[in-house]
Amino acid sequence: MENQKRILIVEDSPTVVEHMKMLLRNSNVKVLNAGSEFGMMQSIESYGKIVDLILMDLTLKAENGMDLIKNLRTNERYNDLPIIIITEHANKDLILEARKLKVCGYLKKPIEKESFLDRIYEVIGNVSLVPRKTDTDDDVEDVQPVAVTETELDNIPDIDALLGLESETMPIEDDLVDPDDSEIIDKSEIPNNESETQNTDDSSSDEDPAKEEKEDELEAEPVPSE
Amino acid sequence: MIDFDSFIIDEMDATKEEIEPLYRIYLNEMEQMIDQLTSASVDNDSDTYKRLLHNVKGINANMRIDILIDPVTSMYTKLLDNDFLDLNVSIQKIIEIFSKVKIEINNYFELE
Repeated sequence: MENQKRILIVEDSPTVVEHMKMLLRNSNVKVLNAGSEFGMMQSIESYGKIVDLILMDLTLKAENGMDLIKNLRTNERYNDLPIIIITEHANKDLILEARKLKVCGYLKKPIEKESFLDRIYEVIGNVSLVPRKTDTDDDVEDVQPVAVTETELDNIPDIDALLGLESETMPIEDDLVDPDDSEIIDKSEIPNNESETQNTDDSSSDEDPAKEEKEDELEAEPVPSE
Repeated sequence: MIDFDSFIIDEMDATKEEIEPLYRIYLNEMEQMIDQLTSASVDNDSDTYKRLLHNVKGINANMRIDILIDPVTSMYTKLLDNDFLDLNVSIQKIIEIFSKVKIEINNYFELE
């Protein structure tokens, strides 16, 4: 099919893969799957040459999704390949690390149709044959980035609340995270020639489910009064 | 027990025939996961157990099988607190609930 986009799904649950395929079944998209467990990196590198977007689950059985992205970014060929990460928990550290790796957004699990298609639509264009909502629709809010300090960031339990988003998805944009990771800043404060943050070798974040759960518990703690 | 309509029609915008393969895959994966959970409990392999439970929770959340999410989440929370006391009871409970889920799905699609 002409102009058909290709998406590579890196997810080791057959159920979740099939779910995503079902959601994309009426769109002008060819869905590829990187397989399961071991050898994912080879699959990603092979498919990476021909795909327009990678959907990367961070909690894989045999490998860490963020490590796979780091490996991929070390190859110049894949340096700008759009990647959306899929995770249950999106905390500040994860967002910042993803931003460094030029990840263009995240999807929260469980996957929901609207947010799933909207996020993909934002990254690779109009993939759906179903009429999409426009900005003029009454029920679509115009969400703006908010200015938040590092201290406030640490004390806010929900990253979505921090960013003023009600959606299950969030684009990781240049204007949301500053290059030295020190604070989340307002778009209007960024000079036009703001440089891109480059790939790093930071390997501090393993997406261990237990660790994530603990982080969530910490984040859920009440904000201490000053 | 399972709200098929809200997931299949409202969420997936699919027909019964279109969605059936997804439920087949779900049932297969859940059966494998439960086998692995049982093995991990016999081996006292708590790391594998936690990872599997986390995956079971995620799959059922994705499929909107609400009846399984609560007991699995409860088990997972206990494991995070290193509470292994009622592990076998909890596994049996999950197996029992899943068998009901399986019957309901099979009846809905008239599988088997």
